Amino acid sequence: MNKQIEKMIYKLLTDILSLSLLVFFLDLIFEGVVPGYISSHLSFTRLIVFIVVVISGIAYLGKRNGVWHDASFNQSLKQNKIIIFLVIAAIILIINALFSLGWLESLVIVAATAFILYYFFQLLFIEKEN
Amino acid sequence: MFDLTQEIVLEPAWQKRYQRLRWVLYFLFVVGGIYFAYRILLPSQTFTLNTTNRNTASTTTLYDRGADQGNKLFNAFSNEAFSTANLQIIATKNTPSLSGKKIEVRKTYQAFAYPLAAQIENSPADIPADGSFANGTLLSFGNSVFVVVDGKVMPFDNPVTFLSLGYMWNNVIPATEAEIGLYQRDKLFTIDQPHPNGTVFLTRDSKKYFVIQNNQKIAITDPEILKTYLQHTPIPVDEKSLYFNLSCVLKKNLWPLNSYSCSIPVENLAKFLGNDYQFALDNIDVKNIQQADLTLSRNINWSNMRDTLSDIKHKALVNYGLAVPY
Repeated sequence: MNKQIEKMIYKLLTDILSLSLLVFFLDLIFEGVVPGYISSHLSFTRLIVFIVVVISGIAYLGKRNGVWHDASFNQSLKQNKIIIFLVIAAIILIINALFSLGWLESLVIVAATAFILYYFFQLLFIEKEN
Repeated sequence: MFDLTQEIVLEPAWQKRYQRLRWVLYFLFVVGGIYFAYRILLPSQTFTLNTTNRNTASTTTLYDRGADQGNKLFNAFSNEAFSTANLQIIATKNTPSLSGKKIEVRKTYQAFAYPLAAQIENSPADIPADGSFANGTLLSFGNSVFVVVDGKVMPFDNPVTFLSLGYMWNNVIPATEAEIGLYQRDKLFTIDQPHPNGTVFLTRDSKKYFVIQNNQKIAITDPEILKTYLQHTPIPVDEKSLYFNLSCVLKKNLWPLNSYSCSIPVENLAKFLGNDYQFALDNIDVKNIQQADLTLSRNINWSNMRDTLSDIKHKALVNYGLAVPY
């Protein structure tokens, strides 16, 4: 297949992946607030399978064309702007989940999350500046 | 524009194609989002008649229960109000054309649509003298709510079923473990079940009392007999809900073959109490039906969307413990 077509499909699949992840996290947040409302209309299993298929397509085409991101953890995190969105979505989901827990469990989870976020921050921004 | 793959540079002609396809992708995403929002804000319900196994039941089952004045009745159970009912019937091969056949619809309670019997057979039935609970009594134990039916207790499958039958939470009597233990536990009470024997209906429009006994509806006119039955709050209902005022005529579809459909505006049924949408099939033999699908949908208008948004708000408040379920 023409390399240009493959690269174009790669770029389109990446766009599809970012949109799918946006849908996935918005659905998760909405489902957390109003349980059952989204899941009665949309199958999360199908959405996850779709996302996995798209990621597999990106991986396959990326390797074929040598445009695969640096696989090392630090590099891929730094290059990927989407990580900021993922962290914000994760914080919202964790805060939402805390409402149904007792204060002691909440305290432990908040402490653990703050600890992890601090190291994420170090990894993403502090080391980058250096 | 937000681009995650800036480092991958395409030739100008391919870049142009990519940009176009990207716009198509975003357009499809927005259209999909609008469609999904439409599905959530104006939800429709689909019911299917299971012709192969009539014993299966679910919230999406179209039941072929009973008859009214010789016409076959299909029942769809929902406690929601809709704008349009669309019925599609696929006839079996060699069935004479169903074009022109009339379909009528009403919304009521299944038990209230029972035939009217002449008089009470075993008055004052359903009021036991031994101190046990009468038929139709609502009991609660733990997280469950039960209804007493002929010496057994049936737990409601969910609060929607309870409310769809016109029951009210303040009529539920808290029972002890010993009291509940006196009764044999029966299967779950689901939305397609009729009100049990001993249920008293009070018509809002004509102020008449009816009691349910053995698949029949009996008018109570004697104040003394009424007194014995009014230990429970009667279920409000509308006498006019029994009239078939809305109808449509089946027309043949181009596809699927042997399929016929018709559409009835059912907005006027919202004013009637009841969870049973009953469709009367004018002289159609159910054996000639290979498949029947009913779709109850809502029109796009502010009133319908406001109802859904209000429901979302209520469910969110319930989720955070700031409101109680309906």
